[in-house]
Amino acid sequence: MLDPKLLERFEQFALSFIDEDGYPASIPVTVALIDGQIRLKVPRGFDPERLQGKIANLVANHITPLPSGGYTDRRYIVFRGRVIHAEGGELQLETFREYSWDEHKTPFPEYVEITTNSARAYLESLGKRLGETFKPRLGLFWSFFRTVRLPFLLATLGPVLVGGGAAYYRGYFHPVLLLLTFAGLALIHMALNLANDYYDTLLGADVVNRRPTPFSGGSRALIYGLVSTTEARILFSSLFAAGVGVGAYLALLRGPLEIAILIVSGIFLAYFYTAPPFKLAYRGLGEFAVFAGFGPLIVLGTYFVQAGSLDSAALMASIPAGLLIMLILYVNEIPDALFDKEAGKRTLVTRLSKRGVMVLLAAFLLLVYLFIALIPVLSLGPPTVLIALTTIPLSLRVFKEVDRNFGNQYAMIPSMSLNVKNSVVTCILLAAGYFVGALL
Amino acid sequence: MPPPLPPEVSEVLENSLVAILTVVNERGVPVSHPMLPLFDRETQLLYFTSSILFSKKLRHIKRNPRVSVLFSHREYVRSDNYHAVMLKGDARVIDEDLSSAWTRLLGLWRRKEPYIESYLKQRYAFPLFWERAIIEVRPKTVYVWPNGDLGSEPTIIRMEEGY
Repeated sequence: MLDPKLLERFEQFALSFIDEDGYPASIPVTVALIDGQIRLKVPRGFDPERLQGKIANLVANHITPLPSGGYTDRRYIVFRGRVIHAEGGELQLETFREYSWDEHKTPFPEYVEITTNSARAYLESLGKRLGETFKPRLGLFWSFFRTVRLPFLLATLGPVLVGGGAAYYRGYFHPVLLLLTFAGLALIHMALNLANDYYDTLLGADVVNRRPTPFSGGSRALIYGLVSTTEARILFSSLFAAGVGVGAYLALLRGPLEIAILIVSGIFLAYFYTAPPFKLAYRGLGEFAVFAGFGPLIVLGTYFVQAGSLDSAALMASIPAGLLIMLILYVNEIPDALFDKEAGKRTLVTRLSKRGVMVLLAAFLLLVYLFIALIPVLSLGPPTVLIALTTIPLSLRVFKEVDRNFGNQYAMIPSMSLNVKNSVVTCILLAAGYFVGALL
Repeated sequence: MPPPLPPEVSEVLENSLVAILTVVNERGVPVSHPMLPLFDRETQLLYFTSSILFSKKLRHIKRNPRVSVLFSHREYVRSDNYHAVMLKGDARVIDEDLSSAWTRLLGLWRRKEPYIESYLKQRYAFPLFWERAIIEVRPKTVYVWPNGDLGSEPTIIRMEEGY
């Protein structure tokens, strides 16, 4: 029995069938639902006898144009069936198949993800037909931008500045070396991003994710075919090698042993974050890896390149920096959790209830500000670092927004954006606190 | 080249936001898709662009080029004059250059959806969506229900014979 509410959501209907001339025809029809059966009234020019016994589609479509441009409430429904005679000389559609799309149930970005395989298959068959390899064309810059997730390099910039700031406060500053440090770490970060995509695609976590966002679900570069698996492997290996090359140069200049230890530890965490056999992110250790890598390793490494020695002040500065970057990952894991679970990627978020995730988020945010406040108290930095506490209201907003949109992938996009902004701004303010403190 | 469609029909084709494109699948069954139609008055050809994400219809057309297109929703026709129009015709798929061939239709597209530019700027966000084939439809028979009055006999225009 057909639900009358299904049809009430549409205003106009079209009936499609194969006409006598062998062409498909679509005609506007009036529809009524009588005793759960679809009755049809066809326009003049199409004799009902002509339709009798034909397989036909009844199509209903709706869009609401927006004054600002674009549409909303997009939906359609198709009933396929056989046209038969009904009482009173009317026609009836005896349905045997029904399919539909409603963007409120399957948002357009998800619809696009679901149909990705169809697009890849089309490109493959076209390639066979024309004897070429086809892939989506974005231009070199945008392909690179997307493949290595270029905007995420802000997560490296923040801790580098914190390490540089802590060193400046202690009286060491080599701007060229600071730039080189950032360049080397940025290369390793890009390699990490791509290696992460490569293994998440091979291990299935990105493949099953139907609702990626600009902050979660990976870059999709492999899934969309922007790069092949071989190209990705070559690219991330080259980026790792280039990063190590820069690191080796810095090691020669500033101290081979310490920098070698930091580089080896960093590469280990970056590569095995997703790569087998360790797959740290799949074992609930990804958050710790990001904290350690973007906190102590980057901040201490940067400090060492500047100062030529290590210092407890740098270690202290590295803790809030690491926590802040880890928080980017932590919040970005929330929309992925459903799909990560499916793929066996047991991130910290997948192991907790919503309440657990939010309690831990609050605890991490609290720890960030606690460690920042302790820096001048323990005489491990200037009081000016307290300027980073001015983001507390922003953190509160992050907490509220994440809580409000928890689990809704697309609704969480602004919350994730706000969280990234909060982490990066707090990191930069912390760094600025060291620089300003040194100047006063 | 056949004579041009009557101006009032061209007006509907040019100003419709949605049309129902019906193709025939491999089992001989019609399959319908609501789509944005782009009518080129100069060539008298009707165009659609289809992302390869939704490529079934492209395969169907390659197998069987016979299609029909229906313009019958008053609200979706941005013109003072409205007639319900159904045309049958032969289609071909142009897909040798999926990345940019369709951009030659951008002029027609912009006229209907001026905000398309802002979507194009975010092409990197949906790279497969913007790999698009062109569906070119050459109208063969056109049915017109003047003023959308379905109770009246349609005017039938056979393009090859003229009218």
